Amino acid sequence: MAPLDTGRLAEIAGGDAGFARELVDLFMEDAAAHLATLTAAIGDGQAERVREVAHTLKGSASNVGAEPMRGLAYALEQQGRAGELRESAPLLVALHEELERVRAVAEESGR
Amino acid sequence: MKILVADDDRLSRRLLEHTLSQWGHEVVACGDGEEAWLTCRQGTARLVISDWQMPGMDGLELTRRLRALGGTYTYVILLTGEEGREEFLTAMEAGIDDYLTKPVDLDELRARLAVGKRVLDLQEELRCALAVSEKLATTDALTGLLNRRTILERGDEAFAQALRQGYPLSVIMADIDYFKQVNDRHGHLVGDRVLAAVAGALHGGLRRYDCLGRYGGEEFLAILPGCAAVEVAAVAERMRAAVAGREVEVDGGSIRVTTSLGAVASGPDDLPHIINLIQLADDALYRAKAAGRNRVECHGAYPPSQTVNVEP
Repeated sequence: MAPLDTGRLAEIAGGDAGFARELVDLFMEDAAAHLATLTAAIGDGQAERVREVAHTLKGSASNVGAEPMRGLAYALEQQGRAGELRESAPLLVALHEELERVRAVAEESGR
Repeated sequence: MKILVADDDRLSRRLLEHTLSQWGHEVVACGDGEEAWLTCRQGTARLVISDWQMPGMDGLELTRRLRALGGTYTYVILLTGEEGREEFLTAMEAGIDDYLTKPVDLDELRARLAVGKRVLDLQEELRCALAVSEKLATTDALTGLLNRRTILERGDEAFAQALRQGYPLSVIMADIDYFKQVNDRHGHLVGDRVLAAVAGALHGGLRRYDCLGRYGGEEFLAILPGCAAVEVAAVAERMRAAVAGREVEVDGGSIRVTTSLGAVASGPDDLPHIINLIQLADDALYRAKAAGRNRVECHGAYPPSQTVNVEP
């Protein structure tokens, strides 16, 4: 599955390439911040905080059409809800990797 | 349409803001429930699109507060994740009108906004219609003054408030002199014009916060909150002079009419009811008529009335 559904992105941006770019930039910036928060929250065992931030990240990812990130964030949200963070670190790593893939796609389509 | 967007997620907020603006709406974007609530209280947004989950005040709490606020109806569309049936019912109970699941499908958003607009426009229509019928129900059609029922209601309210807050209240009753002769001589159409002209003149003699109503055929009742005995005679005299100085155009010329006025002021502990004051004003009016018309009589030991020469 594509890291970023550029079709979906173009659609929600109403065909405005500049706005699509702005949305992806916003997403990447926020996602990076969310991942930093998640790293700290997982380290501190704050399950509720993990659930909350993963939920927000999931929403952002689905907005821009970053489906793999949405799926991972959803899994992390479930772990947070269950208060079960032992398997969270691998999800976090995967999220970081996916974010880099999104960045690559965005830069490629931006040129 | 003015729309408020409340979403803690910057991306989602920006997307909605941009899209709604593109569609021609005026958008106010807020980053949390608290800010949205403060903005809503200023009361300009007709429709609110709010995320459910926000730190601090969430979308449900925002909706509950909006509903408790009353006043003009605000249409609320809630943005939800994949909440279940229970949550959905809670949201409906909180008072949302509609919801959209995230990620928002923009075509669906547009369609649901159209529904919201229809409801809000309907509300606006009803509000206008209600304002018109309220106006009709409280106004005397001929003179544009308050009608009898409404001036009595206002009098009741003003009396109770004056009593509660310990300030004086005055009542003036005015009656057009020889009005029957105007009707007999010039016809009812002219009589109607005289009534309207007198109403305007009497109103012009009052202070801004006084109320004037048509009490009977050619009889008018004024309620003057905060007006004490020492002032009421002067106000009544101003009203008398305003009418006497006014010419009413009729075919081939103009006529003048005069009024007789009875005035009374309530002391701090005088009377049980506005009706008693009205009765006293009416008595004073009767004395003004008996003493020759076109004059003011005041009730009680208050300044003696002005004596004015009467035109035959």
